[in-house]
Amino acid sequence: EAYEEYHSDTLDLMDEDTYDVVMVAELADGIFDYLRELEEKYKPDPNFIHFQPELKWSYRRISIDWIVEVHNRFQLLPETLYLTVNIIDRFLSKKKVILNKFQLVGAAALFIAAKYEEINCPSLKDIIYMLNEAYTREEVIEAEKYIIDSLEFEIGWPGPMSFLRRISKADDYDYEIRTLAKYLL
Amino acid sequence: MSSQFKQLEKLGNGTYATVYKGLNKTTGVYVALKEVKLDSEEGTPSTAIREISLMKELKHENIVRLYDVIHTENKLTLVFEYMDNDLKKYMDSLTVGNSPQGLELHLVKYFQWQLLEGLAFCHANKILNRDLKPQNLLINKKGQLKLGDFGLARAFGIPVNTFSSEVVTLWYRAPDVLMGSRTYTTSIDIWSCGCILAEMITGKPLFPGTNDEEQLKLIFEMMGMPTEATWPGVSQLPKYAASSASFQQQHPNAALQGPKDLKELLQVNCKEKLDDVVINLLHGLLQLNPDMRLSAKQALHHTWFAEYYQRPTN
Repeated sequence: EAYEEYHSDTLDLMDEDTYDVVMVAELADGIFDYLRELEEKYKPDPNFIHFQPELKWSYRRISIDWIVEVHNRFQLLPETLYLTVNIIDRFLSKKKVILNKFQLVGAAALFIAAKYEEINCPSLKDIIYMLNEAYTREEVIEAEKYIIDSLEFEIGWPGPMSFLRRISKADDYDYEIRTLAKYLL
Repeated sequence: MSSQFKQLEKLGNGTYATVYKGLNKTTGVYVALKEVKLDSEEGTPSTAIREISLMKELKHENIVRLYDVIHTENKLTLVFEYMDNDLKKYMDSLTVGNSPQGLELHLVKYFQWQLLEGLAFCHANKILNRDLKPQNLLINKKGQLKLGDFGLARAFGIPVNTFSSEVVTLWYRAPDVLMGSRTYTTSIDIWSCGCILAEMITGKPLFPGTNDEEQLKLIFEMMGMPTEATWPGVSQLPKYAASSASFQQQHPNAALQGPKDLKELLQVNCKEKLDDVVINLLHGLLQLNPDMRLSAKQALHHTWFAEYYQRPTN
């Protein structure tokens, strides 16, 4: 009976997800297998700090605190924040970064993530303002390009939100639980 | 240009990029080099980031492979798998005098199968094609067919040269999209697949409209005018009322409103005898109601393709 309830084959026309490509009901299983595969593929190296002569975990924390602040200031989507952190970690798993470029990496990663996720992306001017003009626009553009190329344009990390949406859907979570889950993320 | 590739002749001016044939100097393999100019105040365009990221995920034998991206300050060069021809040019080359010719049915079947295989893969990977047409289906001498670098068309926004022969075509656009539906899903690509199947059979586009209104009119004349009974919710679509009214006005005689017999119509322009199986598939792809259309996966299981999926595998 439970199977019946959660494995409905008929499309619910009142449900907004019925019209969302990513949530195409017939394809959901295949899509989520694939997203899990991508998640694995785009996983950063948890020990990258050992290859970074000038960095410490505490610097990463400071950098991410700053990004959360900027993210909040621009009222960006939660997906953008998670993707920014993934981009930073993956980049640091591949390339050595000197300390005085570290904040630049964070800013450029946020810029890339916002371009990928947001409908209205903050402008380069906004980013430079948030950096207190510590770097020039050329430096940000150059860093952005360098990060994109290092990650070989592979930016489509699924992040926790896509899984949360699917799980809360399949298990009929109510709105409050979903909000709580978003908070915990 | 990276020195890894030797740039050969120009293959064409696309709507948003210039394409050259190239030779990989280390491997001796031909590639297609697609050059896109960047003149952005904001660094790498967001569309380029999104679409290239998607394309890099798509690895399937019926999808043109994006091997690499060369990113310089003011130019992006996309390195694609090289293909000899596209389906449009190939069909054009078969024209005798002024009369277009359809492909042989066994080839139609093989191409359609590969088209659906590539599309099923896109759909399983959360990607809509949205602009399927013969020009975007690349073929080679081995009879392979691959979906072209879709997505990138939208990635770079407005076409560079609208005066080129490459006019934005409506011929393969689904009726729900034409009537202003914005909730479309994978079904819009299936409609295009149906149009392409019919075109391969006869050599002529099935619905060659020149504007949105005419496009809908041609579709309805062939497939019948949809109603709330055949397509629940259709009357809520933004352009339904207007298109329905003009259709009734042009076709006051209900008996002439269609739907028409597709088999009869296609048979006129096809040398071989069409059977009901292929017409049944065509109807499955060309359902007016998007919810009634087959999925790419379902279409691959259609009886018409039995010889492919029943083939013993070693």
